[in-house]
Amino acid sequence: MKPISQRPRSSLVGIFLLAAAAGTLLFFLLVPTWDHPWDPIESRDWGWRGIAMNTFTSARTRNDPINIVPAATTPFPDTGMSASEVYENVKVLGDLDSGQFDYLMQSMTEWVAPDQGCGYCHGDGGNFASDDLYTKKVARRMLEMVRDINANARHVGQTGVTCYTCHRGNNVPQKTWYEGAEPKPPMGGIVGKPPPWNRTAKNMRDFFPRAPFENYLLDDKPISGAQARTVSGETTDLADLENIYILMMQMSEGMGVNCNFCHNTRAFADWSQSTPKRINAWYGIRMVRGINNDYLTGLQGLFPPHRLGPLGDVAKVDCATCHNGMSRPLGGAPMAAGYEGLLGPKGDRPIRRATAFETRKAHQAAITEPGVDERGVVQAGE
Amino acid sequence: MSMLSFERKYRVAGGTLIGGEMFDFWIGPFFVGFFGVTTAIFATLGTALIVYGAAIGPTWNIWQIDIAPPAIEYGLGLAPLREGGLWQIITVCAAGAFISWALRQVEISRKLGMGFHIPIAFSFAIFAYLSLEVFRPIMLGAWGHGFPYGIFAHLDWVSNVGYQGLHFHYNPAHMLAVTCFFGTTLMLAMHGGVILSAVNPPKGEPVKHGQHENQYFRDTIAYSIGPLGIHRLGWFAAINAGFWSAICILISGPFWVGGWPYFYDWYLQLPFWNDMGLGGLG
Repeated sequence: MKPISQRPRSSLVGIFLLAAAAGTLLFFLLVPTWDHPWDPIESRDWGWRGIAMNTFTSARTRNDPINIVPAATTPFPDTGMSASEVYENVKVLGDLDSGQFDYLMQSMTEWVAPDQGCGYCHGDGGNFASDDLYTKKVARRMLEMVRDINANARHVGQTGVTCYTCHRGNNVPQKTWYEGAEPKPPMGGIVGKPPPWNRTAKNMRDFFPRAPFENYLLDDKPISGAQARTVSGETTDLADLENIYILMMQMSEGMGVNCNFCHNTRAFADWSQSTPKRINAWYGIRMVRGINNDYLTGLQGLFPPHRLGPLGDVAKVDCATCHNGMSRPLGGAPMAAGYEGLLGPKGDRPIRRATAFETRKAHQAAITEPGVDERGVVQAGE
Repeated sequence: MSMLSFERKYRVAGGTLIGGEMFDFWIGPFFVGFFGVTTAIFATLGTALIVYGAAIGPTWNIWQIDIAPPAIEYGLGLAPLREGGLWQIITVCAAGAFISWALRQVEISRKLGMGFHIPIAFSFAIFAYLSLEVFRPIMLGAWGHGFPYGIFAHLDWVSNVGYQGLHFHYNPAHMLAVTCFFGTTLMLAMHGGVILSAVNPPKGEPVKHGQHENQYFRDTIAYSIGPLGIHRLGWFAAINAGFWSAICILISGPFWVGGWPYFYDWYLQLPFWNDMGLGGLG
């Protein structure tokens, strides 16, 4: 045996490096959540063959318990009397048959407050006409919103939405967003501290900055120019580009799809190379803006502080709020079927066009509604 | 094809894996061997099929010729020639040609009494190709997930597959692969640089040798890995670049169907964050 000093050191170093590599590998195999080819992975083509415009689902994404469609219930028989004849202080559904009204009230309880029951909105005093609780006032406004969406939102079409589409049995839908406080000191430079949500977020959806939601789902900043000028003919600020990228990722993740669901990524901006899904997404973004501006922000004064965000704003919606990881919420189940009270009058509210952002920065109002050409493909707004 | 005076010394018989003496000969400068023959057959047939595919396709524009795999609906079955069947045969030809070439490298190494570092390195490139065209499609359940044979077509495929993961730079294996790619090219450039600078001294200076090369790196970064070590390290980084490229595409889809940025939920949920008392939205 050689004396110690002549033995090669490299074996020790090698053993250490191998152990470190094996440890890292083991960590990455065991700690993160992985999908598996034997789930199996299911894929769909959204473009022609060989172009890889595919979306995927796995057991993990297909079997999320939040997306189980609740069992169908039997409507109550009509009584021949309207709700306002039977009950006091019915402001939205007064003309509805009281049988339908009772059925809807019972369903709403199951959709939003299954644990608390009627008392969540009506209190425990037995006075159902009372408007004392904020929950009832919010519920009334939400009912108007659902009726508006079902009657007028092209994005929803005939599928229909109910309280359950977003709430899924929770008082507050699981996926919402608040405005984010500016980090202190401001971001930038090596002394810039990360924004507060970076330190508390438990998932990447919450970890991302809030500016994309604020700019494009509350304000109506144009979502354009996010690709090189040679493709789209547009230019954009780098910060805007980052925000648009994050918005699009949040949309995709919220719907369990990817960029290829709507876009051929060689030319994101080009409507003629996009799938028809992009048209529906375009209307969806405008519907979300309408929900946030016309319904939710108006409720800010009603909510108690613990329901509000760090800046005192009300919880707002994005794509994930309804979609919950599926390209069609609850697999496209016609949730509103059988509920007359959830269908509001047509033309109640048009697709939101006059917008918060345009009001503030009229010169940036660049997005125009795309027209339909004879090939059935929507062209970018001219 | 003339031969250098000392070259005949190295043209030794034997060392073949298959075929014995039958193909143990040279054509001009090229050793043939059994696997040289199979390489030629696969490569010729595959190329001819690509030309045939172009001929029955809509264009002769070299940029736009596209031999695409079958639609997803065909799954792992055979497709008609014009609907992806050609792609399937060409893929078999390509795999056959690449593997034959690697085995021919083995035979030549054996003839010369060398190690198998060259065929091993090349086999990592083959592994990456097979991962893209065979292993990942099998794991996803359809040949349609392979890339098409066409210049623009395969670039569009690369773009779309990247965006299937929303932001491919967050793929951890992609990070490793990119690091190794840049690492190995940096090492090659520095190694090439030190050799060229040693043999190109200023006028009047003698040509420098190994210890000057070592001393240059000891002076610069306190350590020289040495004339053999730099080739080991470069080889290691290079095959790891290919290997992790293969892994990064194999996990994208089969082992993670979501966006890669969202893969990192686990990082935010590591238990030690809870104990750090960080303020925030609360």
